[in-house]
Amino acid sequence: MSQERPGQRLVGDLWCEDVLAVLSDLVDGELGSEVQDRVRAHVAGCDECSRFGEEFARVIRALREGLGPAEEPGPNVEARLASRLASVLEKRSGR
Amino acid sequence: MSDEESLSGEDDARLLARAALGDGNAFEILVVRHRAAVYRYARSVAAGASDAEDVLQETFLAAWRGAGGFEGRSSVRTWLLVIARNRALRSREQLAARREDGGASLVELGIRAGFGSDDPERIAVAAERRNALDGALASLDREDREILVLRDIEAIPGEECAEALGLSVPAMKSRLHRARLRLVAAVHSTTGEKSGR
Repeated sequence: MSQERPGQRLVGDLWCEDVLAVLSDLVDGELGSEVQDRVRAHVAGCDECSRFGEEFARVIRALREGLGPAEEPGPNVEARLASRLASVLEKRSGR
Repeated sequence: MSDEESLSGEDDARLLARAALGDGNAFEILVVRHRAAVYRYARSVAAGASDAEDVLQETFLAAWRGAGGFEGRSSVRTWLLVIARNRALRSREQLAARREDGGASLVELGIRAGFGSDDPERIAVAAERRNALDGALASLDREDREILVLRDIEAIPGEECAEALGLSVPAMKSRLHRARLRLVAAVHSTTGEKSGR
């Protein structure tokens, strides 16, 4: 049975903020199985943690899957890098 | 098979070892392999595109000169990113301003990120639009951007990431978690939605 207090719920033996604190570990697969079971028990009885946890994971997944910035060096940047390196490389390798 | 073709199959550490002996071809292959990652990282920590380009160039020049100093304790990519970080930090003054959220609790960060919001689905939908995620990431401060770029975009392993940032693993994980919550909060703010809790 869940107890309640403003902004927080105790479900299982964890408060919502306990779950919030380990979301990254959960997403990274770094939670021990015992803690993971306790988090899942909380989430199973807490709609808000369930929903927020899923959305948190989706945002991080979007970042990882390449939906984040596509900051590639353009051809001009690459050309200037190549040019600056060329003289140094030639000097050291004696080409 | 040409020399360059045979080199292209070499792993990074061997290429760097050859570069340390003066092999410019080996080094050029490393440059091509890693220039995009170094540039993305430089963009996350440098003040602008021009500074990022300087960091990119200086990183590879320093790597060429210091190739013999690579000890193999991390991947070559992480080693390059550490050089880039040192260059970037040297090239700009550290912002002394206190971070906006200061010592905000995780719960406060979570609420800003939409924890308890009526419709967190909207946050994820917004995040899955590249522009929204770009904007959210750009709105974060340098420390948040760099750790998200290292861990989530470049997928640098946790221990190497901590070493690159000069942090213990627990401190790196704490910073990463807060940065992720601030990213979700920034995406959340693009939805114009008020938090629910």
